Amino acid sequence: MSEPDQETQAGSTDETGNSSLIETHVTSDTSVDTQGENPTSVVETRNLSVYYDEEQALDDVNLDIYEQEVTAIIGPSGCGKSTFLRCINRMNDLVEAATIEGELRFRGTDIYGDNVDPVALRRQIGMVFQHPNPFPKSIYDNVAYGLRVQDRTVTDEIVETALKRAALWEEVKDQLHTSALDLSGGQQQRLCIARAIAVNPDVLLMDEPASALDPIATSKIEDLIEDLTSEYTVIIVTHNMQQAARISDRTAVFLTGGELVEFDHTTTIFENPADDRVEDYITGKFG
Amino acid sequence: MSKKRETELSSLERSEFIVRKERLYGQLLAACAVLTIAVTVGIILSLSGQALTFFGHVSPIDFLTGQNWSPLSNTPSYGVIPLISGTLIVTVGSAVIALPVGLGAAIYLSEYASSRVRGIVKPLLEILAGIPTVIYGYFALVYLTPLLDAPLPIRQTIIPEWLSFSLPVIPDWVPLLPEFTLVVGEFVLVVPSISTFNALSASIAVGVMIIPMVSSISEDALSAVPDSLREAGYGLGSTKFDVSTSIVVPAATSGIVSSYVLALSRAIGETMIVVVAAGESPKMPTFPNILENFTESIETMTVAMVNIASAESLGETVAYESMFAIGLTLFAITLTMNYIETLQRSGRFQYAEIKGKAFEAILIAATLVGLVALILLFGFMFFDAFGPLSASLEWYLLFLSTLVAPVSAFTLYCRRNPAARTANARASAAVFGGLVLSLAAYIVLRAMSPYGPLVYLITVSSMPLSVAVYGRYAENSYFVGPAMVLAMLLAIVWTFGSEVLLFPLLDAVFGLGNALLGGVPVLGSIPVPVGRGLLVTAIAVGVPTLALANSVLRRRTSRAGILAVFAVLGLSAAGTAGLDRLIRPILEVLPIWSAYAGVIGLPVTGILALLITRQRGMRAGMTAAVAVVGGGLAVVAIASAVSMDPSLWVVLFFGMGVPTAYVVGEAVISDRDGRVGVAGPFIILGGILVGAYLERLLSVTGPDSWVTPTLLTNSWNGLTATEAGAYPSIVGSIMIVSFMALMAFPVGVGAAIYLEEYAPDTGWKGRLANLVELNIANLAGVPSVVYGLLGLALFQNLLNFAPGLVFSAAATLGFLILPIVIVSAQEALKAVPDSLRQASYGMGASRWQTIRSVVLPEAVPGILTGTILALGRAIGETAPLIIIAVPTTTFTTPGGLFSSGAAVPLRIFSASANFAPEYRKGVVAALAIVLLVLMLTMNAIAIVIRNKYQR
Ligand SMILES: Nc1ncnc2c1ncn2[C@@H]1O[C@H](COP(=O)(O)OP(=O)(O)OP(=O)(O)O)[C@@H](O)[C@H]1O
Ligand SMILES: [Mg+2]
Repeated sequence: MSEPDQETQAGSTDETGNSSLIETHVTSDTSVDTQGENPTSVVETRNLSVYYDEEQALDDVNLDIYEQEVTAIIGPSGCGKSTFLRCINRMNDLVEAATIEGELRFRGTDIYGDNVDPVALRRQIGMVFQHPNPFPKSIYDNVAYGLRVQDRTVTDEIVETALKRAALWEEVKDQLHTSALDLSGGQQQRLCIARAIAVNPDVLLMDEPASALDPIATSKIEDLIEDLTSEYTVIIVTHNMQQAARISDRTAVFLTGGELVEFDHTTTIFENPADDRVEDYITGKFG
Repeated sequence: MSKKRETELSSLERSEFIVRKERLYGQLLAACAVLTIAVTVGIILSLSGQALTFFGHVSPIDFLTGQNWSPLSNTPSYGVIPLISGTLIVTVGSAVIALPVGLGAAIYLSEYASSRVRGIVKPLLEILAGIPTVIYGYFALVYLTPLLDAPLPIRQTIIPEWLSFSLPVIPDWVPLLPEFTLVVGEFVLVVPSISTFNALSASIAVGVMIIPMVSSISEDALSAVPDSLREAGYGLGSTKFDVSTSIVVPAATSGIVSSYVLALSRAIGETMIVVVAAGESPKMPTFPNILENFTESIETMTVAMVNIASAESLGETVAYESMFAIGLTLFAITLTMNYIETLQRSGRFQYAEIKGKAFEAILIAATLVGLVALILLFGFMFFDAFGPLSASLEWYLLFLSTLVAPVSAFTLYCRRNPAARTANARASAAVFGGLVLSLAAYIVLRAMSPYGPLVYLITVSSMPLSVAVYGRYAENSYFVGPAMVLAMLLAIVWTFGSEVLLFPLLDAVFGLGNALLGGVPVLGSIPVPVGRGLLVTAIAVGVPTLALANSVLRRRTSRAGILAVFAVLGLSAAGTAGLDRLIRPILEVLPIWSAYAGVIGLPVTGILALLITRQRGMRAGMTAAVAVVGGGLAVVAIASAVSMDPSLWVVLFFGMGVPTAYVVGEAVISDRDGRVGVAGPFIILGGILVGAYLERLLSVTGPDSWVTPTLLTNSWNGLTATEAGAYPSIVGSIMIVSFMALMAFPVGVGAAIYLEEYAPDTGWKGRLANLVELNIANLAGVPSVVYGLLGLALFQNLLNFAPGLVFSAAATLGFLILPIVIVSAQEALKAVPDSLRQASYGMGASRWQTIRSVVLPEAVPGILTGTILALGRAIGETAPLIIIAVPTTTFTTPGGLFSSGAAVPLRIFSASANFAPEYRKGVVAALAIVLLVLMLTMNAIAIVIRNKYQR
């Protein structure tokens, strides 16, 4: 039944080992997600450390991401949350200063293996960035961009579906061919989400997708994320505790220095964290 | 679920040909970057090769220490000291003007001027740097020197007695004395007279030319000083003067020093100003009366080179080689200066303790120096070229009412309505840009006969079309891109230069093959010309066939696909293998206007149809295309009916009419607020036409202008000044600049892409990229005469081309502007925000996809701006063309890339040597104005593009 879970235990450090044990117990009685009781891990992280030149950004991280779940990553500014996301789809390849140690597996394949093409990998693992970054093209072309670069056929239906799922369709359906730069910040961010889901990736990485949004747009995006888990695995970085609590199945807490202090079911993290520092962080005592 | 996973796992693997494609593109771009190193190596080799032979005849010590330079006399002497001192005199003279004035202007612009003033003044000053230097030379010789040469009464002014006592007694050794001698006893101020050719006016002109280099680069450095530093100063209660002088300027020191070094190095390498205005008498400087050196004719290193180059039929003599020795010396000097610049030596600057307002006034004055120089330069030439005083009052009133008044009213209206202003700018760009480009295209086509380009266009345009078909059936059609470029190059070479360029090369290759295969019976006996034909065919058919084989082998072999591919191959082979010879006779049966219509009309119609299809769908696009073709035919019909040659009208219709109609149509349909704005260009054109018509009707006396249609359309027959025209030179200039752009633009942009997007920071590739960047910076500082030597050595000595071909001129200038194109394209690429690249990579785009569909579209306006400015500079380049022996006077238009050409600046150069006033103050001024207007138009286009896309 719980092969992946055992793997988790085997590879965990002492600190998270405890929580992994708890997790196996809890899995059976939580019904937060739609899937069965046999979560498959999509991304497995083993002893991952990242350095920018001399400076360490991640410190020996072990963390598994389960299929069709929302995993939230929280922690104070500069603790390496974005770095972790950027390791998963190898965006850090573009940063010459970054060196990566340890192991990352995507559905069993070593992400940093010799044969893996980062471009092909990124086609499987989509990303929404911290700040909206639409292309200076039309709304339509933005959504179609991923399909075009992947040599897939672009149809109006795909574009429409993506925009609908990102809760943007109603607002833009009459101006699909105007520039995306004319949209508001919140609309741009939803466009970036539409752009990312249009290519139907396996995993979606979201780096503080709601950081620049008003409460209404934020709640639209939260609804969207919940909706997405029927098909996708989502990893979301957020500074908003309520948001993490509301939408995620599991939560990972990083603290300064790039250390993963606790990783568990969201309910556990928020109601009964094993580590004092996590409790302090969540209740706002530091960070 | 598990099945889904399997496909995903396998698709994570590297795709062989995506990797290969990326690698191929990276390598091609890297090749562009490395080419710049080849240019440097070429310069060094060509300089040192000939210089070494020279030093075989003349010992380097004699060369470097000799005090007599007379290479062309019967008893030649090769001492370079007089030349170096000549260069030094001009450099010092110009530095005295440019360094303080430029810095003052920079401080004013960055610290005192409002952003509006800065926005107007900075580009105005930059115009000074773009004015062709031969025009500066002409200006100095014809206007400045007489101005400086004070008339006799002023020169010997009797000083009132009371004044003489207030004057200090100046000791004998002070260098100022002989220049403004004050003979105290007699109370006479003696200002010595100035010779016709003198270092003083040349120095002033060079100084004015380099002011903007100092002011622009220094201003950038000053503006880059963070505001927080200024605020810190103000926070401590400092005045603006204190902040500027003791905080901002010191913080920007290294930028200011760089601007000084670059400006000086430009002054050292300046050629044409000195050639035209400072004369050619190599002299040892006189001490200690330094100023005396300025009143007389001198000779600089650059002038010596031009003198030798323009001495006729020199052959490989010692004098000829000495040119390269000077070139090497000059190259070494400027290279050292650039090196110093990169070392960013910092120094300290002391300022006189002038405070507050006085300081600001001085800065304003410094800024005004540049502007006044600009006004004087244009003003004088304008007066002489157009002779505005000779027009009657009625003429002014006439044009005031038909042109000036309506245009002013319209400008006022546009000022209040920004949408109309944009529409006006777009329509003006279409009308006037279209007019200029159509005329240029017509002129070039007429010179070379339009049939050749038509053949070329048909074959080449068949390639992208067929690749579109091809791409549907072959996954790795990427190979076709580079193959097509190769095919196009071959086609160009075939069309324009097979006899000179391709055949000798292929013959050599085939000859070599023959020699190697001498024993093989069949191959060994093929005569070389036949073998050359076989090689051409093999390349033309082989390259696309390889591409095809490559794709067919890797991809399903659909029958339709293969058929399509063969159609493609047939067409491109037809083009590249030069079925020119076959197609052209067929085409030549058609009337000539149809060839013009084909060359200009086909692409214009195609682009228009594509644009409209994108915006309004296929049907609208097709309708527009049909309408345009119909319009073209109508124009032909009308022109024939009134028995005019339809060629020019067809070109104007497609080149100017169609873009105008498109822009106007767009505005009328969709731009509710701005649509009135499109009237702008028509008000101007209408004003001119109505005015001209009324002028003739009412027989009003217009100005006695030298800028006439004759000037632009007649050949230079040298008989009378009024009949003389510059048509051959104009054709030459247009051809040189357009072919130069064709060569420099792709390579320059490719190199920039490699440096910005591909080259890593570390490893050997990173070091290589750093080397390339350093090298580009150095190349940008190499004087243009030295590029002339490169062209001379490469094309005339090595490849044995005839002197002064359009091709050699275009390629030489291409090398010259390459660094400028690269640097500006790099700037444009740097300005593309990184978040866009991240977004694209995040979507699973490869590097090339990211560059092509995200980075380049964003960078295009910036790249274009830089390139147009570079072209504007090349249009006025003179010195390198003299060195490669482009004729200064020619009476026939060049017939193609490989015939001998001419250029407008050379025309100015040779004509300014004619002392007859109708040349000096008439024809030459008119030509200078034509050249200036050309350059200004290009600058204006560049600025419009920059402003339109600036975000
Ligand atoms: N490209 C880079 N080069 C050098 N150092 C970097 C780079 N990117 C991040 N870092 C460093 O790595 C550490 C972790 O950064 P990261 O962006 O992952 O933090 P974060 O948790 O996402 O913070 P935030 O919540 O502010 O977004 C920081 O100390 C940062 O300075
Ligand atoms: Mg972050």
